[in-house]
Amino acid sequence: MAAMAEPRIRPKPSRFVRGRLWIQAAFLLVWLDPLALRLHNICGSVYHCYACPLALFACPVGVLANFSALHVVPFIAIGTLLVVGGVVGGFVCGWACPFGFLQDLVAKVPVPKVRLPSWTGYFRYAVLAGLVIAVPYFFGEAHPLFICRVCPAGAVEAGVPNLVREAAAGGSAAGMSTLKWTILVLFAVAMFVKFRPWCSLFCPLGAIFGVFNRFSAVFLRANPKKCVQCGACRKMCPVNLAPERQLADPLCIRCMECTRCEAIEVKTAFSRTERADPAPAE
Amino acid sequence: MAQRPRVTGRRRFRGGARQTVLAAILVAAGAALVIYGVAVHSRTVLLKQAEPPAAEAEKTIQESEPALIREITVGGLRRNPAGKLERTYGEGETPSLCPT
Repeated sequence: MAAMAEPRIRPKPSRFVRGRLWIQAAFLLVWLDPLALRLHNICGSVYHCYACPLALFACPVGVLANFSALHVVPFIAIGTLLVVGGVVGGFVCGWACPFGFLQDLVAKVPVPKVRLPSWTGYFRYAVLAGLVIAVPYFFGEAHPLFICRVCPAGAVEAGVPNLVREAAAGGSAAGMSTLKWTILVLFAVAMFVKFRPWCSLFCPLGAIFGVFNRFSAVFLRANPKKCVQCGACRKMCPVNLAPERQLADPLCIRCMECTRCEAIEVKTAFSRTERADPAPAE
Repeated sequence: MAQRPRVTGRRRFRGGARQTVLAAILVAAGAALVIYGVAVHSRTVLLKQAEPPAAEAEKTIQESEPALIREITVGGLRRNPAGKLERTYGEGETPSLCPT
C-alpha cells in the first residue's frame, strides 16, 4: 500500500505575507492624503469615504452610486475598476483597502470568530445591484437606503471624525442619523466576532473586484502535482473557502494565507507556464 | 525521424495565454474608458441662482467628468425634477461638504 503523502505546509507564512499589515499601513498612509492634495476629481480604487477629512481620492462606490442617482454613466469609475481589477483583482481587498485593514486589525483581538458559509458572500451582489445602482437610480441620493447613508466606512471615516471636529470647534455637532449610528455599533461588534464582516458579507467594491479574480493578470494557482488534498489550506482560509479548488472564487480577498501550502502559488500573466514536454532522445 | 513533442501541459498553457489576453483586454478597455471620461465626457449643469429665473435665463456650465466627480464628493450636484443636473449651492456659497 502506498504511503500517504505528507502535506507540504511551511511552518509560517513567507516574509511578504507576514508583512501584509505593514503594506496595508503603507497604503493607508497614501489614502490619508498626508500632502493634503485632495485629488477628489480622481476616482480611487479602494473603499475610503471621500467625506473623510483625510481622503486623497474619491470613493469608487460613492461615485458609482451618485452617478447612478444623476443618471450619468461614470466612465472614469468603471474604467478605473477595469484597469485595477484587470491587473490585480481581489488583491486590492487584501492588501490596499483601508477599511479592510481596520477590520484586519480588530480581528487580531483574540475572540472566537463566527465562520459563516461562503455562499453568504454573494449577498454583496445584492448590495451592489440594490443600494449602489437601483436605489439611487430610481429614488435619488436622498433615499435612506442610498449606499452612502448606510455605509459603515462613511460612519467610521467621515461621520465620527466630522462629529468630533464640529464638537471641538464648538459647533452644533448635529451628528449622524440614528440608522447610521445603529449600523456603526453593529459593525463595531461584528468586527470582533467575524473576520472582515463588511468585506465578506456586504462590500459592493469587493463584489466587483472578486469577479476579476478569474481574469486578473496577477492570480493564485494550485499546483495539482503538489496538492495532497490534506485540507490544511481550508483551515488557513479566513473567508472559509476551499483554496485548492476555489482560488478564482469572487469571495477570495487574496490575503495569501493559503500560500503557506507549497501547492498554492502566486502567478502573473507573464509567468512561465508549462510547455510541451521535450522530444524524447533519439 | 524525431517524434513530435508530447503536449501534456498544453491545457495549462492555453489557460495562461487566455488569462494574459483577458487581462490585457480588461486593462485596455478600462484605460479607454478613463481616457474618454477625462478627455471627452461632459454634462451641462444648471447653476443655482438666488431668484428663480425665467426658463430662457437659466445659467448653465459644461462640466467635465472629473469636475462632476469632485462636485459629488461635496454633495454639490443633484438631479432636478426636470431631469437636469443642477448645483446645490450658489455663487459665493459652499456646498454641504458631507454628502451623507
